[in-house]
Amino acid sequence: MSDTHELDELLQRATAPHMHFDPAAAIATGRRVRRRRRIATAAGALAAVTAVGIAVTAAVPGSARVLPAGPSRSSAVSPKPTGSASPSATERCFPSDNERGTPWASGTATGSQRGGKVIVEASVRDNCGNDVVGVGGMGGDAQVTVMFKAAPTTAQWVVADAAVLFLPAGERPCGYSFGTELPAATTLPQGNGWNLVIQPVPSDLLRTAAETGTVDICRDGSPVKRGLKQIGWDGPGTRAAANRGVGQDAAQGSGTATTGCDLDNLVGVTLPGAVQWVDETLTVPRAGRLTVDVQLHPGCTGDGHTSSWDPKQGARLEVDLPTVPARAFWDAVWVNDRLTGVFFLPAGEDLCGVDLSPSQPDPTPELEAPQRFSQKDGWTVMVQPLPVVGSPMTPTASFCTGQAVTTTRVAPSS
Amino acid sequence: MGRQRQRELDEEFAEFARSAAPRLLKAAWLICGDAHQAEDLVQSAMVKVYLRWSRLREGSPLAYARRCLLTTHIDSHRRTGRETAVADTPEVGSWDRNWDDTDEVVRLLATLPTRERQVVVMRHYAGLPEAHVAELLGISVGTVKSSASRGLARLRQALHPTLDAHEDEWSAEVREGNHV
Repeated sequence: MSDTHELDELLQRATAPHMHFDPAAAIATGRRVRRRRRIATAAGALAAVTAVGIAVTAAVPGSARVLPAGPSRSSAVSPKPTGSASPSATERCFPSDNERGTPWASGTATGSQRGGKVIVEASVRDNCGNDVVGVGGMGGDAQVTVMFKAAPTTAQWVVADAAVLFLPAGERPCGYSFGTELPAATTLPQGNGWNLVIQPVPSDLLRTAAETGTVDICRDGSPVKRGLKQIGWDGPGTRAAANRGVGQDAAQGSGTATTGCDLDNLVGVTLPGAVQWVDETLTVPRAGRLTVDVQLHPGCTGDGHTSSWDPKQGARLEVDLPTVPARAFWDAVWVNDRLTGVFFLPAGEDLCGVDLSPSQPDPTPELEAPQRFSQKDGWTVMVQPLPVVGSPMTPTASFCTGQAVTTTRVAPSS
Repeated sequence: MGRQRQRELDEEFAEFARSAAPRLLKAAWLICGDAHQAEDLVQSAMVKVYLRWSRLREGSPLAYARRCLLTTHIDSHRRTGRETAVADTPEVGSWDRNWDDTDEVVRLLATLPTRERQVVVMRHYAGLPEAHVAELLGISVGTVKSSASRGLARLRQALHPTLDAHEDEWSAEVREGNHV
């Protein structure tokens, strides 16, 4: 027998220590990852629901009279995550893994805040604890995803980029609380007998519409429902709660991403105000694509999560937090061959240095130029390629203001 | 997707995972030299397989699992800087060795550079053809040949320090079967 075959045989015969693999754990983790991706997809770029003017032309014919505004559900919160402009669009459940939902209604119309089309897809998802609305961006278009916990039996609507209404045949909107002169709406008959109405909303009315908007519904010229509230208004995750939750309890956070949320515990649960805080994709020089995805889930507790999946599709840093942290934090991911630090800096703070080898007298290396992204709430996301050192390392970072070092030896979150 | 269908897919995946795990665990252990890390590697690879199960189930889930295992090993190695755990690295040529000393082979294997170790394990434990190993690792067949040759030469030198150095049949053979 040749040496090669002998080696083969030796390797076959070598007695490995007892090792354990649990398929159930792999399945549970896989489901969690799927959920996380799904939530991220549904969340989309909520930040786009902001001021991009569109022409104000005609209102819904013969209607659009002003109704008394509903009780103010908004509250000023600071800092406010980027994606919170439309709280109604931030209420999401965490559907279990075994359904994609049954398509229920869909349609496309012009009049997005982004300048393009509004694309609406609605489905029924049995395992959702609540109705869910998400808005995502696709170029100049807005993708509005609505997931009903059960097929609607009465008119439903929500303001998410545009006002999106689901109306039984014969019903139509006949007055919005947030404005009288609105652009022309598009009515799209559905195969199930319902109508999908997409009503563009001028950018200056959008926040009010999203936060407090109501609509009157008429049939044959007579109101059948006055002041219809939006999807999710009075549910467990009300928009008022969402607004109150985000940012209010910032001090509760430890300042690290490890005080995040364990999504495994959130199946079927609707948390108020789960919002996309950071959603940036960039190219790390000589490495590849990196997506930084941070979501806030006020009220939940548990571990944060960081992962990098499938290098061919680019690295991905995912972080879940209960709220906007009180202090700077960071994490590191491999973007192909490059170790890359992602630093989250509150207003006025900066990265002072990265300590790659605490045992060295002068461990702070020369760093390449970082890329920075400013958040509307004053935070900055800084993506910094880090040098690779030959020995095992536990890098730490120091943060400072213009005057003084504020925090030293902050370890990565994961 | 209905619950029933998802349950069926999950059961199918679990069955695959249970049958593939023992040899994947051992391959991972041979590559990384540490049982806990091997468990982590296999767990991570299997999660990735699970995420693509509906597409992989009709194809080659095992090949994908191997690829994930190797990629994750490299990523993990880069991230932690952790070298393979070797309790007692033998001094090359310091004592007479017996080909039957399997523990010794495993320890020696752990002294190889990462890429060479991966190639040797995939070729000589998993029994994969060179072309398959090249595809798994994203390298050329030539690189597989040279890595295998170098790795085996090092092992041979360590195990049989008196053997003629240019006895070069180590990497000449390709065995099929014994798949991880």
